[in-house]
Amino acid sequence: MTASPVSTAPGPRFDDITAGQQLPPFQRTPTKAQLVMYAGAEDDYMPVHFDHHYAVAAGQPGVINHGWLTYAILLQAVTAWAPPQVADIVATSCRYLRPAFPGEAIVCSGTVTAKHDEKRTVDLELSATDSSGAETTRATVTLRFQ
Amino acid sequence: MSALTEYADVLKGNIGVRGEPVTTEVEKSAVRKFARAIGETNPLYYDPGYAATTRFGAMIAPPTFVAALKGTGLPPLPDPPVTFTVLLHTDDRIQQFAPIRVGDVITTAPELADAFVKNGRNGELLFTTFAYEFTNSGGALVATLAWTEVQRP
Repeated sequence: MTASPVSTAPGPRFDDITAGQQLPPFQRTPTKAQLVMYAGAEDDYMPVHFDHHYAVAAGQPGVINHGWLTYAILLQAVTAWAPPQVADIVATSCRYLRPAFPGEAIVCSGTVTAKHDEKRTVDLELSATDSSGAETTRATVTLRFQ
Repeated sequence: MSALTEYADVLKGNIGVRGEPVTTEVEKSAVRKFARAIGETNPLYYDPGYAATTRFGAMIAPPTFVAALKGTGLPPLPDPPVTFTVLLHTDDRIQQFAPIRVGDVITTAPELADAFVKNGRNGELLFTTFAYEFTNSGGALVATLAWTEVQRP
């Protein structure tokens, strides 16, 4: 498979970014097939991510997304705005608050919380909510611009 | 003191204990497969010709690729006094000091970094944090990861 063409537009200019700024909306809906792809790509074969009966016995309504997959999607809310071509993610953290499920939208939002001119970095807070509006995952990112 | 709290204290005495190192060559196909699985479309993760024209000079791995490099082993730790039934991954923390490029040979080892008990709605929960340092073949530290999970008896 070849990569689909993407914009490699330079992204935002550091000087134009302000604290309080919101990131553009970003949303993805992982499928069960994507969970299987992710399991293979990360080498994580926890059955709760692919075995319905196991997940139900573990108290879930069905298989749950890999936390790391939701995390990777949240970070894409940042890199779709400021790709590695213009800025590096130098520090990031993620907290998994509740499970997220395949077939349900992961709705990402992000805010610039601080800007450090001398280091050319910006700090961001990110949040993923499910279709009912409940927050499933929360992340922070420090992005260093070129 | 509960058996779980006692076990957390035993684990605290093992902070710093490391497991076997894991060495992985970052392969082009593994990066593409990972990028496809997370839905990334940036050509930096797919196209070596394009990547060569960028400041990276080669294909790089997405930020959470450290999850694929950390291996599946854990440090050798004392056996728990109870059987755990539920395991959930609660927190991750990544620092990136240099890009991870295709062709890099990355070594890491799991290290116990923290262990503590908290009272949850359904009883006691044991939190453990494993820390990883990722170094390249030149010995340079390229990334760190702190991974926290929670277990319930």
